[in-house]
Amino acid sequence: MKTINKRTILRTAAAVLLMTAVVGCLYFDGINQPEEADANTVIEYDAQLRIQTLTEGTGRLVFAILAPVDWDLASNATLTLSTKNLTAKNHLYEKNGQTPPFTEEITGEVLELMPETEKTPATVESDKLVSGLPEQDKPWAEALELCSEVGIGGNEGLENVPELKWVVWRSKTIFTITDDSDSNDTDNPEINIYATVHIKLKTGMTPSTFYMGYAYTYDQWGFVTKNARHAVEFKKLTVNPKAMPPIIKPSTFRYGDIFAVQFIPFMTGLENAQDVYLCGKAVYNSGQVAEVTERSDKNRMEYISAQQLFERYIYPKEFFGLPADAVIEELRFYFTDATGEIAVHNNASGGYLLEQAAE
Amino acid sequence: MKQIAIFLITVCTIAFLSGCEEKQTLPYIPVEETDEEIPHEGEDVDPLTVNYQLDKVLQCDPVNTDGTDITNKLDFFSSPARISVSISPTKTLFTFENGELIPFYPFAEELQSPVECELDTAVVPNELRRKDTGEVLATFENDGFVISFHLDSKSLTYKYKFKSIN
Repeated sequence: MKTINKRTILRTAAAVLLMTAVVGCLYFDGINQPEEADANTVIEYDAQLRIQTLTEGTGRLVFAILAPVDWDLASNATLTLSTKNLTAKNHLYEKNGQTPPFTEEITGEVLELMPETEKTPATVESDKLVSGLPEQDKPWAEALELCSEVGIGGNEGLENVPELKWVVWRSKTIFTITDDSDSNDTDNPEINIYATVHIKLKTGMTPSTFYMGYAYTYDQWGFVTKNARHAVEFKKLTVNPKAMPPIIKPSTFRYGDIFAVQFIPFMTGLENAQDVYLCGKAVYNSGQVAEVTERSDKNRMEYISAQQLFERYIYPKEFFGLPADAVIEELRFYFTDATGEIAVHNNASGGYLLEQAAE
Repeated sequence: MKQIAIFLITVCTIAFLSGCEEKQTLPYIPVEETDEEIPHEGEDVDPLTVNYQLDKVLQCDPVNTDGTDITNKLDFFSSPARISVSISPTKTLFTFENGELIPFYPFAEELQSPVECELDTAVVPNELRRKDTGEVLATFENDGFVISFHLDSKSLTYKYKFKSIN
């Protein structure tokens, strides 16, 4: 995996800042996406949206995420929308004898996938009529790549970046955006509407480092360069290999039994290791600790080629050199190569915790 | 004439009756043949002893009742456990010797070998029981003895299968 150099980071940061600066009335206040995640794991986080109601219009919220193709976000992601301040100006409608478009906030609306047949608007009327740009009148995912202010962000030029694509969702709710900038609303001068898009997705199998992309707009506008009617942000994500937890055979056992510890090296640092060693820690007799950290024939695992895994049968008291009457309270295991420099564990202290049966 | 006849009959009768009671004197001292299977009073014959050595260790669980052969999966089974069964007409003795390297014992308490046992042939498989407590020490299955035991989980049964080494 390539290390991102400082120059690349600076260049990307500058690009993101520039993109944010040119966007007029739609903002990301924050996206608390983790910087690291395990492969093949569900992660959840929020994107905080802020919409300045400086421009009037009507449309559905369009939200897009740039992610590796093999994540298949269309099937493996769920986005829900909640709003705040949507009803803050209702008293102004009521003062004018009008019915406000929303009487309550939106809570947990599940965004739907943008139909593939849907295209971005061919023209947009804002300060001036905008038409004829490559990103206009295009399928939404394609338009995002074509929009020079969006594209694939800092991923361009990075090595070992997986194939990426935008996946686009939209709200069922059609929003009516009213220009409140000159309403002289002294009771409630706030002119922002806030929204939270809760993102739940499953990472792919392949370890990698790249920039996730996030963008949103309204479907009446599209992602149009220099139109200042969208927001975009990229956040770096490192997907770490995730080892399968050890398999214990038989599945029902207690610490005082004989059992096999099986380790599948696929997608771990030990994937190509010739020899794998079982190491670990036993806690016994009210907190005493015994460890196996060295590598020898005693803890070298047998490779079972038919199942493509390593296996070691142990009798824990003998494996950890405990007295015959020892009562084991906890067992943890991890796996290393012959040098001991590559270790696979679950980041927890001492390795994978084995849970014994009740009896 | 009649008197002579009566005399002779009387003499013969007396002679016949007295002859039945007289011990016959043999020309040699008789030696009674001894049956080796029958012990002399107060002593046992040499018992028949069969020695067995651990052949397989099986781990059985509710899903895999036939068991998984783990004999070669653990180094300590390379020092095999042994048993011997001595059978005589009057008693059966069972001796168990754990493998030097095996870190556990298949019985709840250490046996003070030899242990006097009885082979219960009324059940299948036949059970070798301690004569004093009735505890089943082993079963006889197919061609060898089997010792079954648990280590920790009650759902896991370990079986030592012994084969004769005589």
